[in-house]
Amino acid sequence: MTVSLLPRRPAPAATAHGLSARRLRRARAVVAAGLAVLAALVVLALAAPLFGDPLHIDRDGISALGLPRGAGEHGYLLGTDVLGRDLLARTAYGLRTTLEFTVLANVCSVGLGTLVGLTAGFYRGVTEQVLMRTVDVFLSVPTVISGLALASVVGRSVGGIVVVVAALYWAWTARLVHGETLRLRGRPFVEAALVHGVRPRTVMVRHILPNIRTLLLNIAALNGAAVVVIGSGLSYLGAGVVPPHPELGSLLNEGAQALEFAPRLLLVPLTLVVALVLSFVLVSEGVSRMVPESERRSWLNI
Amino acid sequence: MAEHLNTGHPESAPPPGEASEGTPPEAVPTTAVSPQTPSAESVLPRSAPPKGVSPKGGRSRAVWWGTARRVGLRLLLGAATIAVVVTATFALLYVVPGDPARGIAGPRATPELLERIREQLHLTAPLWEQYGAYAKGVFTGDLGDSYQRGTPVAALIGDRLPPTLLLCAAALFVEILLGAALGTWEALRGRRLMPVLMTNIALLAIPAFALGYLFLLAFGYGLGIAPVSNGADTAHMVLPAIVLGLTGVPYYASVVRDGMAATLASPHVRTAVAKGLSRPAVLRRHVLRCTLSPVLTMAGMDVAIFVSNVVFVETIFGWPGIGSLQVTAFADQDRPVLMGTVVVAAVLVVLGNLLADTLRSVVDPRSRQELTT
Repeated sequence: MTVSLLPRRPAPAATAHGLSARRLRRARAVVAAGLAVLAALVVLALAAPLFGDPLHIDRDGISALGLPRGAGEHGYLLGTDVLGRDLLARTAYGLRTTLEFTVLANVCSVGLGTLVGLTAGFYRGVTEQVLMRTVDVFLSVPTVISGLALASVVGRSVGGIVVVVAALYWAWTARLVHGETLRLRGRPFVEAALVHGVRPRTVMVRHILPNIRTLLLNIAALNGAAVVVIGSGLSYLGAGVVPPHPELGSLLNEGAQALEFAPRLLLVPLTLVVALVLSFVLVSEGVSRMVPESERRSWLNI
Repeated sequence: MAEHLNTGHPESAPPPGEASEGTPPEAVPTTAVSPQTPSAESVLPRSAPPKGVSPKGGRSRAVWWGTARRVGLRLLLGAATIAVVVTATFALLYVVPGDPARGIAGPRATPELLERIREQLHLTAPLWEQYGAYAKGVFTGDLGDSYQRGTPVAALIGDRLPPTLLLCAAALFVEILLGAALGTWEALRGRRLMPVLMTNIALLAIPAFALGYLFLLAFGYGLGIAPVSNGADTAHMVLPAIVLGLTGVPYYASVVRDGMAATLASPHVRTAVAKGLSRPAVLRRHVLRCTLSPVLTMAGMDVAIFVSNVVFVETIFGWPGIGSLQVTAFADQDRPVLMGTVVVAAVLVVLGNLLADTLRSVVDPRSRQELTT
């Protein structure tokens, strides 16, 4: 009875309403491009075992002069690193590790942030004040610096990165979700549901969450980009995955030592990091273009 | 009723006894009602100002109260942030590691040595006394001694702080200049421009450390026009400042574009155009100042990100600031230095926020009535 009064799928207002077909097509193309890049990277990561052992040191891996093999030499598609390990295998496995912590940390931070933002925006009052002031504190803590401090205690592993990144990034989601929940909280359909005696938790899940899904998708994409940057950045600084095991950030660090004689060692993982961040940025850009912009005319151009 | 309507400004609210007395509602400065007050309530009669306050005096007083309240709230939040950070660093230093004495002396220390260290750091005292001593130390500028070098952490950080601040100032200049240029270009054209869009996406997608290495390879090793060694002079500052600045450009560009587009569509610009001002005059007098406000808000939020990227940039270019100090401290597991840097960085962020916010309320009178950003 109560549910039938309410829009079951209140999608149009939040997504494609009021957009020209051309703009919508373009926005979808941008999202598709981002997803395509992401899919290609995931396939590369899943195919990592095909490229061999990332820790194996081959006798042929180093030339007679003690230099790493260049791209294509001795059957190494991307050459070897300074110790003679196959760069392709190391990069593929490194990408795998990076993707692992990206997914985990993204889910954790967006999940926690959504929970806090929804609760604060829905219940208001003291709950809101306490939660949002905590969010403010977390927002003004510098991430990399406290990340290093936290990592020195949490330990250096994939799990450690997930904990550190989730702890540092949930507050951004919470703030955005809180603002949007506040806006929806005053809307008639939420009030109607509450007046009908629907439990608050059900209202949040049924009526508020579906309305912020575009925002959540956008947040997840932007947060994903940030998580890749901060996670591989911490690894690059030595606070991530322990060295013999590859990770894009620690590969960057290894490559930086060989900057003068084999810049390839730096450029390959660097390209992958940029591609991964780019995929998230493209998805976010496309999603935010699906929300209609207000068309205001500048008074200078009449 | 009167109390409820004035929730935004409890200090400026008249005592309940006076609320029902005399002066007509028009005399009440509109600024006394917080912008969050729902529109339905603003129709209701408002409370009267205290006796003997002229409408004009009341207005300026309300404005001052607004500013004072805002700055006060900011200070309170800043103090809370620093208190939380101090507590967290204390926990990470003294509680989590189990035995800090062993952390300092290493696994092969003799029991006598451990005992002496415990004595020095008051580790035998109850935890809350240790916390009190630590917090007192932090507020008097004593961040403990470095495990590795034995020198006071505050002195170590004090040496490294000026270069970091110098680098940040240069980068902020690059960031705001380029961001404002791109944003203004788009706003004046009135549509999204492909080159700007591409630049923004590229800059968003390239993390600070990747951009740093690309620049180092291109300008340092490739073209040979920038130094690749470590150093702290102007020549060494150019590349890191540009890299640090470029990472923030897309954010400023979009803030400037949106802010300026909103201003260009507003009635006061219509009036300015209608009365025959030239385009440059309209921009200079009526648009730029309005756009400065969101830029300052952005700058306030940006400090935390800035202080983070500094670590990467300093490490890559060998700039002797607090970022590279912290990375060395991490490698050495030198916890007092690590935690000291966190405290100092948090203080920097809080001060930066406060500065941006104060500047904003000077530049933009509208912001004085907002309680939070």
